[in-house]
Amino acid sequence: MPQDVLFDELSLDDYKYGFRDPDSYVFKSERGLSRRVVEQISAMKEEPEWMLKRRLKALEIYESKPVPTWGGDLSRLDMSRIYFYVRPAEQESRSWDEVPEDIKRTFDRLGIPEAERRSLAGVGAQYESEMVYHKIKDELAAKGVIFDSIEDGLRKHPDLFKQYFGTVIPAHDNKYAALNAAVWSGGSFIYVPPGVDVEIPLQAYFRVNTENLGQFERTLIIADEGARLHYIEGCTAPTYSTASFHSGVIEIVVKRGANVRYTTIQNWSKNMYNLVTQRARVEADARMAWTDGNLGSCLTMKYPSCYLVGPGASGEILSIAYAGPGQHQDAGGKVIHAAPYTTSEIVSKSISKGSGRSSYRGLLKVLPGAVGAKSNVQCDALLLDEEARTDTYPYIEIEEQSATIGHEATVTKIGDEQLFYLMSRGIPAAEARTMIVRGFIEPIARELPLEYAVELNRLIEFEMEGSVG
Amino acid sequence: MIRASAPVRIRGGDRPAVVDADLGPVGELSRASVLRLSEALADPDWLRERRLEAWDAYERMPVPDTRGEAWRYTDLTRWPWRDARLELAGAPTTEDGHGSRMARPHAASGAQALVDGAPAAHWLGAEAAAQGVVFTDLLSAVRDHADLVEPHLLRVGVTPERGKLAALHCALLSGGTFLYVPPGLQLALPLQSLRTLRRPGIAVFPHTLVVAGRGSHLTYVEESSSPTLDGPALNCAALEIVAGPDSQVRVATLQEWGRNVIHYSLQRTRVQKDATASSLVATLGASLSRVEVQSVLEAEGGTSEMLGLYLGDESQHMDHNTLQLHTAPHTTSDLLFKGALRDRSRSAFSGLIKVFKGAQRTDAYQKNRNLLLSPEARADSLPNLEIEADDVRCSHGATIGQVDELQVFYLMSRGLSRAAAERLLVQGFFEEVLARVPLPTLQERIRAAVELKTGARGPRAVDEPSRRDGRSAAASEAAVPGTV
Repeated sequence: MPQDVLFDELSLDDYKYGFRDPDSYVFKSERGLSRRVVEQISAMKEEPEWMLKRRLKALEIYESKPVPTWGGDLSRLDMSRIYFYVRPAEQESRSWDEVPEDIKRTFDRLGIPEAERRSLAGVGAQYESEMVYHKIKDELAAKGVIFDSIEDGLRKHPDLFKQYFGTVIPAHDNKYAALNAAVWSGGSFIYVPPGVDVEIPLQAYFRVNTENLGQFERTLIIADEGARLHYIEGCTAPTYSTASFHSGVIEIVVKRGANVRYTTIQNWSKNMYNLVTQRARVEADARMAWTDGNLGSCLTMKYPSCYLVGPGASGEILSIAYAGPGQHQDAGGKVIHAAPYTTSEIVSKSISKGSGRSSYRGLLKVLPGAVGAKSNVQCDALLLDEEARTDTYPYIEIEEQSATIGHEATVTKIGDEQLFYLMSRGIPAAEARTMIVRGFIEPIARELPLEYAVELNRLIEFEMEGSVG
Repeated sequence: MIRASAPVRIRGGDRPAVVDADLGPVGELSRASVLRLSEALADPDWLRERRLEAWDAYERMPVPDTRGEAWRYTDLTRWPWRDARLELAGAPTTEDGHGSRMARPHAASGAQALVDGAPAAHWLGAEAAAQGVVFTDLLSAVRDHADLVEPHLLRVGVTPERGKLAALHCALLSGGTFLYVPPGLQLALPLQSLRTLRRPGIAVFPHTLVVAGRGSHLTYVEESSSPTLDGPALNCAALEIVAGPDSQVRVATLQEWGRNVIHYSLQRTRVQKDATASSLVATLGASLSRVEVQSVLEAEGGTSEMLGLYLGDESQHMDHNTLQLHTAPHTTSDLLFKGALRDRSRSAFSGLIKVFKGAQRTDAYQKNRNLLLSPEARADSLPNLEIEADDVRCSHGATIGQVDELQVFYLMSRGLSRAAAERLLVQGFFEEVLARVPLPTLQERIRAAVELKTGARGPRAVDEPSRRDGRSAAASEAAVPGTV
């Protein structure tokens, strides 16, 4: 690929996904949050009474909790300017042809139908506050795999929905989980029956187009005993002069012996506040793996977590963050060992550049009785210039004698010796730097689906091009 | 290098005229009490002003609870520190077991004893005195060496902003130690301060100020111990250390308070150009210990080594909070804290490496390792990094685990009981820290204290009571590990 094309695609200042489409919607709530807005959302979705009650209760919880001050700077996020609900189309489509033309064009530019044709078992797409498209391969549907919008999940599978919704992340968990529980809209509902192996990934795309929109998707994934699933989500938004807000809640139930991998690559525009709660309940001998890539947004606070509640459960969190000028990536992971012989691993790699700040914030907790729990945490930070900042806040709380816990973190810049060695082998400085950075993120990049790994590598290449000298 | 050979005679010091005063429980003190204290101690104006400023800050601050980050693992609202009474009194003169123990310092350049916060005895070698060393209780120093004390006291970094108890200390500091070593003087032998508490329910606020002149070398050892007291006592202490340019300063504190003592200590060191500061904190006693150790590397070439060990049993709560603050380029810090926990004891370690913008070529390391020796023990570890410079090498590590069963098995196959094997392994665990303190007498002293404590459970040695009384005499035998 010619160099100038690469630049064009990967420039963060000229954010590739920063294009915007004219606003066209069938309903847009008033700015700000109120009981009326919550009632409107619930009414638009024709929800049962119990769901409205839960939403209103969650609104009370949200209002009673203070804005957290321990992480990123939230003082400039003006909630009174946010639109909490924008309905883009009358209904969700099953066929790409039915999606309204302008929305379709947007997703075409993001490459979604292409991706579906190429390699996915199912695709969902959310535009503003609602899913506009959901499709799963027929053979998976025949095996009983459910892949719907969360609203359809509530309508079509009320028993499953009610049994699990809000059980992994209750509304009172934190302020933004409460907010999501009050105004949630869109997201996926996935059920994989016992023993079914969804061999290729399901994927969802999230797009915010309206300025000052708040997107509150809610995803519920249930992998029944022995099932296997890989779910990928990608996020983009146009670049506006004032902030938009994304606050998702992802609940995952990984039943006995099941195996779930959840991959997020968020590349929101640089004026997005991204506060997401992601948590999995992992039962006996089951495995949960989070791969979390944070490249966009102005502030991300996101700590995917695994509650290991059954013996032999295991959790893995791979986190990669890139904080460019003006960005704060406050990412990390949480693992609670609540059962014997549970194991976990957290690997975090972050790169900071310019006035960018990347923070690792993690909690590793071993409860009494989690005999033989083992965990290892590794955090590495790379600083590309002297303006950059990195922090590591790894909370380790151990109440079980037989636990084996390790934590290590390093902060480095590109080593002169490494550079010198590569240059002595005839590699130009710029290329050598890129190679070193690629090597730094390799342990995580190799876990990404190919298209994302390629994109991450290109992004790094571009960033490094700009940093020579 | 240093042998405890010739016994050293200690005489009563020139005691400052302290007026006896009972100011009441800490929780009932007021601004007027601070003024009364200041009057009783005949403070100069500058010190009284610093006290009042600190008192106002103290009153403004809430009692820290676990909602804040700094005290996340220790809920101060649940400890009766406010019940302890602030009483000023002249030093007692009786010589009981503890007094005689104090009268047996290791070979030293100087020694000092504080009983219930008041100076009971002090001694400084004639040679050191002739070379300009000042080693005295803090109140005398405020009176006699104001030029040396005033620029540093509560100005090195022990300030009200550090927190509620730090502010309380700043307002009420009384008694303590002042040590000044003039430029170029290299003292081979350590200076010692031995402290004890006798009155149950007492609150003391000792302050240590160490000023090392350019190019000087010094070692200062502070040992605190007491019997188990009947009522809750409070030791709210602080140490301020100035490691002048090119100096080498080593400070060790060994804390063996009896149970019922609530121990708070804030230690802050300024490491100046090309200076090397080493600190060791050994926490063995007290019911609640909260120790804050901070090093500020403020000029190029500064190096700070920060060591710690803690051994908890029963329901002891030990909270260590450390700060490696790199504000200047080309500075180095290296921290190692190791702890072992028995019974229901609980430890918390939270450490922060903070590298300021522009502090390039910083090399900082931080490691915390914990051994859980009982199912009810709990350890929390929070090693933090905040880095704002790019040309740095910073890393940290934390581990929490149990004694290696394979090692226990090996020792048991050699005929040791499980308890004895475990004791040996715990002692070995601490050796990594002790090996880095090149003071054989102190190493042995701490080994003996660890051994005594690890031996205090399970089958007891028959001669233990006598060992307890003659602790320092037992120090040399204790060098042989594993004597049951």
